Amino acid sequence: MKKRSTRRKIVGTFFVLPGLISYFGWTIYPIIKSFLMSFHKWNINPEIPPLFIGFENYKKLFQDTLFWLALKNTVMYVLVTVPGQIALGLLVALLLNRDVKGRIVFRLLYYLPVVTSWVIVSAIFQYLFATRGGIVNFLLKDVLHLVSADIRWFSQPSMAMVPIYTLGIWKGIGWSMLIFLAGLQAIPREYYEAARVDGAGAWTTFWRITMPLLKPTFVFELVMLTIGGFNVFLSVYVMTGGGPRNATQVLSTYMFKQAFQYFHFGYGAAISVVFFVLVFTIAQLQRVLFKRTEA
Amino acid sequence: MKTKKKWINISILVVLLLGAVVMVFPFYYMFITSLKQAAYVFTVPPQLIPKPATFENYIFVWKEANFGRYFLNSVTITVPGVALNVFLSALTAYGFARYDFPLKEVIFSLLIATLSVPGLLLIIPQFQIVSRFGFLIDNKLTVILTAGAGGIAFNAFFLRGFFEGLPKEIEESAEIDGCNAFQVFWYIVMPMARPAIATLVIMSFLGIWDDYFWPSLILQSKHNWTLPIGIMALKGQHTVRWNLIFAGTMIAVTPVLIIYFLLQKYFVKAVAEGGLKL
Repeated sequence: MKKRSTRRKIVGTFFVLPGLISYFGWTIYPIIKSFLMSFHKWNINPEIPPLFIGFENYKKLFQDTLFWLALKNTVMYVLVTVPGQIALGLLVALLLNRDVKGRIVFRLLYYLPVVTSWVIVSAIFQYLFATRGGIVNFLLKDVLHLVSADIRWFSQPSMAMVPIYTLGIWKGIGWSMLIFLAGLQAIPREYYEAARVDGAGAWTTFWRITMPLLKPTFVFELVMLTIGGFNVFLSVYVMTGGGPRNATQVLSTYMFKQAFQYFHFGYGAAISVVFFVLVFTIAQLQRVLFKRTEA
Repeated sequence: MKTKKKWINISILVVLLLGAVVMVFPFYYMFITSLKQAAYVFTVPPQLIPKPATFENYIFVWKEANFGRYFLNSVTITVPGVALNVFLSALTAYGFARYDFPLKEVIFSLLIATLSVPGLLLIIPQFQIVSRFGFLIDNKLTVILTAGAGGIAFNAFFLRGFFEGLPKEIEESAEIDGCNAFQVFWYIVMPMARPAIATLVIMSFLGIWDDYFWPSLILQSKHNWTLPIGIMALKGQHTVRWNLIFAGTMIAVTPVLIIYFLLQKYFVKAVAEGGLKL
């Protein structure tokens, strides 16, 4: 019997070995390496060994005004797009969670942006928001008469985040909707029936039954969308490249610029480490915070 | 009471329809712009039906702009990449689900702990590793292998639960009948796990087919480019020609859309469970 279990251990090891080797080589090792690199000055020339400089990269980073600007823009992106996706996703989910004609088709269409790649939808949005002849300006100026002149979405620093926010919300509604639909369907029918027997109206039922029972779904969406929001990259990279004058620079594009345009690998690694610590802390904080209020 | 309810239903339908227009219109607009001649790309008011419609943009993009080549490259990277990724993930998940080995639960906790590590943290060292070996740069094989190795943690986590839910007795009786461990896995378990595997295939396909950033770092010469790199190159030119760009994006998005409409059930599951990726 002993022999058999040893044999099974060996067989099991063989099953997981290829996957674990690639996991350790391609995830764990790079994580450690990122931390190590952030304490070094790297030269583009591989012949010159990296120089240990301690916390120099971090010191420089915290005095770097562009880093703070990128952080601010990233946080703003999260603050705008996360509530936007949650609110609209919830709205669509509530509307679809009844006997509507064409439920499946609606779900399919609302979900379409989720499965389309960021490169493609970012290109589309850049075209929609074009200054002259863009359909957004056409709607605002010529149809609705809300503005008197074309808005220069991508060359006016105060406006440049708007298309990026819009795309972020538009692309995420389908996902948010789907998660809320799953949450709504998990609420037992009896609760609603009991509420109706007690004479509760639609509004009371929504606030007293639906919302409290959706709480775990809210927390899940909040955490996932916040992580996703901090990771915003391709929409900015494709539409504005961080410009004009860094008005749309976010953490990921700034890291990309430092690492892959200036070849400051150590500095870029320091940005990515700070980024990681930040996202990790916020996600944990959200989890703990909302768990506590639940009890 | 009854008419009130009817009116509520109608207004809900109207809201949903308006929303659906907002969700679908950008795709429609991309499609019709890909059929426009250059002179009609920025007309005011915008043309909502292309007149005259032309297929020239597609021919130009496919031939002159090399998208035929990029399409082929995307396929030659995605197909083996997905196969490798799914195979590695399934092997790993099955090992965790059915076998015992040293440090099993410790390693599994590590997998879960690293699930939310952003790709951003990994990419500089990953690039360093690859560029240390010159032959890995500008090599499609590199992208296939790295695509295959990506996301193992999530996939193993996702599949383990599914494998554990399968009835053990079938595997045991197959073993008694003389199947070896790999045969049990390949001929018995994998077919039973088809729904989960399909979900994983879709997740993996989307990730690899659409990936731009990593391949653009590795694949430097034009003849190795994939579709997203080709699209970005068209966009990066001095005069941005949207009708051509959108012919290019149509080529890239069509396979995704076909698979989406055919396998929507798995797709919805895939992205919902796959959460958000960079």
